[in-house]
Amino acid sequence: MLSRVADNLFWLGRYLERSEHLARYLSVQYFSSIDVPYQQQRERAIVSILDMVGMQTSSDRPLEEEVLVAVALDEKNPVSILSSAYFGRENARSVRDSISTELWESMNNYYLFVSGYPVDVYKTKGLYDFTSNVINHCSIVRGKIQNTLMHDVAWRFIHLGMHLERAAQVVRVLLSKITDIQTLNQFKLGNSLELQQWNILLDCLEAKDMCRKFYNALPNRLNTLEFLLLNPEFPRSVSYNLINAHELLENISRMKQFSKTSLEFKVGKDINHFRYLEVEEVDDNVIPFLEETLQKIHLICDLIVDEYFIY
Amino acid sequence: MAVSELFHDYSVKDGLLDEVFRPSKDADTHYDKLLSLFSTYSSDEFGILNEYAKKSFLVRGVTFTTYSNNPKGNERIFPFDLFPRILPTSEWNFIEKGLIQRNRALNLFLHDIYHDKKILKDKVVPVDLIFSCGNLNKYMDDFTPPGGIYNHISGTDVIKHNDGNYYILEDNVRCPSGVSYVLANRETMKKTISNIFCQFKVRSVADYPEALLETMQNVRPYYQDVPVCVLLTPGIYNSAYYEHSFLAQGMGIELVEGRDLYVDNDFVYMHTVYGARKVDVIYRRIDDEYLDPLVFRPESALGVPGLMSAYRKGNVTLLNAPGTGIADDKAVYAYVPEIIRYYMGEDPILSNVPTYRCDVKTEMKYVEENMTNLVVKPVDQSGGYGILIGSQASAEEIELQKAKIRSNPRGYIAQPIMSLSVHSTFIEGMNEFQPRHVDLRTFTLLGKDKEYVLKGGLSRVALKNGSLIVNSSQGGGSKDTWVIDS
Repeated sequence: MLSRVADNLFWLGRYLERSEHLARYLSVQYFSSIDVPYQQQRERAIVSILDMVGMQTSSDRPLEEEVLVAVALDEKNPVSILSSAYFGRENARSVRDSISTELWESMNNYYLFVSGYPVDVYKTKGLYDFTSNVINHCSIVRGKIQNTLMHDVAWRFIHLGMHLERAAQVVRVLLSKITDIQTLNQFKLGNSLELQQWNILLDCLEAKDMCRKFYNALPNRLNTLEFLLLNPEFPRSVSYNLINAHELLENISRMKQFSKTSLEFKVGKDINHFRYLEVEEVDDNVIPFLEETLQKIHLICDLIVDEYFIY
Repeated sequence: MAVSELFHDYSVKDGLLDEVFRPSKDADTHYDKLLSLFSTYSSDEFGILNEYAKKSFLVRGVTFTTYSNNPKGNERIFPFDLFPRILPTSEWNFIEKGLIQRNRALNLFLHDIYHDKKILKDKVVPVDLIFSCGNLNKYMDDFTPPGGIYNHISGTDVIKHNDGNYYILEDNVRCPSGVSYVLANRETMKKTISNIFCQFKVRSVADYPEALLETMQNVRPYYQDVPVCVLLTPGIYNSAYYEHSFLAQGMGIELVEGRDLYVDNDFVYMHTVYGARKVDVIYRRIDDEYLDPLVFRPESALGVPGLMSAYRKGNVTLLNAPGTGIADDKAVYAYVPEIIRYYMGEDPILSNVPTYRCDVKTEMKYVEENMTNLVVKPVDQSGGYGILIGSQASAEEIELQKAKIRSNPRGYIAQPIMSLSVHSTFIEGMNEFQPRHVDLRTFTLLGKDKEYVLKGGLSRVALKNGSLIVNSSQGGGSKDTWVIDS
């Protein structure tokens, strides 16, 4: 497989995952903020959307409508859902001959849906329709990846991109929501509010039902963090995705001989402690831990570029 | 049979040949059945089908993109008309024979020009005509490409004149495009008007990618049993990128860009995730001058440094060979009937359009005096660029053109304004059919010991009323072309 094709496939996976997480975060945050009792909560929800996307704002109280449009449909904003869909589709277009027609068309259809969505409809009544359709389109594309491609090296590069991006997005969601909770705690609005925020966090990752079932308990700080950071069987935990990414790298590598200088060794060394980490070890220091994890993920991506994407 | 409202106001101007309707408004026999089937649609119903067809191109990404005012590009579909053009087998077989004869002769011509130059020594073609041709490629001198083939893929443009005869309008033996639209149009037709399609026995076009791959394998380098074939594209921003990816996918070969390839020790390799892989045959969709920055344009980032050296060593095959542009030079075109007689010992099956060379004094004089009745074309352009149609040009434009010709007589030829046949075409906005001029881009493949012509081709339609320019870059559309057993 061409190095350039592998590069495009990796990014196809990343943009797909990125836009889906954006859409879900946007939707959950926005709708959970509509019926909150306190104005601070509502304002915080909007700022939180910006945080999660990584957008800077000059104002402490940005206009809600502007934020909602900028994150979803602003073509000049390189991290909007529209831009992610565009770049994802451009990556697919560059490797059209290497992927199935079905995958290409599902990606193309996804982009046509997003780029054709009228901004005024979105602003007034379409936010739910828009975000849920984005999520559905992403599921369709993922289905085509799963069922119309060979599960060969091409598929592995797409999945590698998906797992690393998902790990990064989950970390970003955690960072944003934990910051939200810490900010809201300063207002001393009560304990039930914190419970509600853990629920929202789990909703942002479609994890609420499974988390409750796993612990047979309502969400709290410790079980939510443990579930989303370390659960080895939940596909949106950070640990699950990093371990899978490592396995994919081992599969992609054809190196027979063990080498301490290999990419797989370096990455394995970096992420292996996730398998044996206890949530109590990071609880006191969770924000620095998450920031460090995000940096590690970026480092892994750089190593992959050096190993496979030079052309 | 009553014609429906779709054809209600259909009228053909005097002097035009309408392939569907005779002047008396009766349908030609081949079109009887087709018209009666189309007449079952109301304007509204047909409008819906038309929209459906357009959407299907968009969804499949059968589009071309222009980047004039928008860095992300304006993505457009190539306008498509659902009313097919019919070529009965008897007529088609004649065209097919003529195409093979013509393109075989051009191949022999190319070999001769780059070796013994007998045709020049015998004064059949003037020496200065060839040596003044900008597309003559000195790197091809005394070199024979694998299999002896230069123009593996030829896109020959054929028209039907109002005298009822077919003529060759121009040859394209460099990087002819458009074939993917033939296949995409066919898919759309089958899905959109399946009830009509299934009532005809239309010859398939689906075998083109397979035939092209066989052609590539057929001209592999001598040393190689199982060649690695690739298609070289300028990238996703090229307007024909859809076609490049479509063909690569259809053949199951790698679609590469210049930056994916490199030359080491006169062999060509591609960068893969597991290291280098050797490449043996390249179907290149980039122009000669961008192929290799070491010998052609040094600033080209599309090509591969060292490619020409590897090519001349016989380690890699290029389709088409570099330097084929001398055979589709529009001044050389005037001599193709003689070229066919010289190499094939036969009369040409398909006629040329009479052509005046502006670098011949007597002919230049005629061109200057009769420009309002002529089409003036630059000799080395394609895509319909730079063409002046005398009857539609202002006095000022004509004077400007004359000045251009005087400063570069070798750069222009002129031809009588051919009356391209017209064909029933659905006009959006009017919601009815009207006659529009059409031509036919055909596709011929030549290998060492094989030849293939795609059944039918791309019927191109000038959508502007009265326009004779059918090129997609100039607002043309296309139709599916049905070769049907008569």
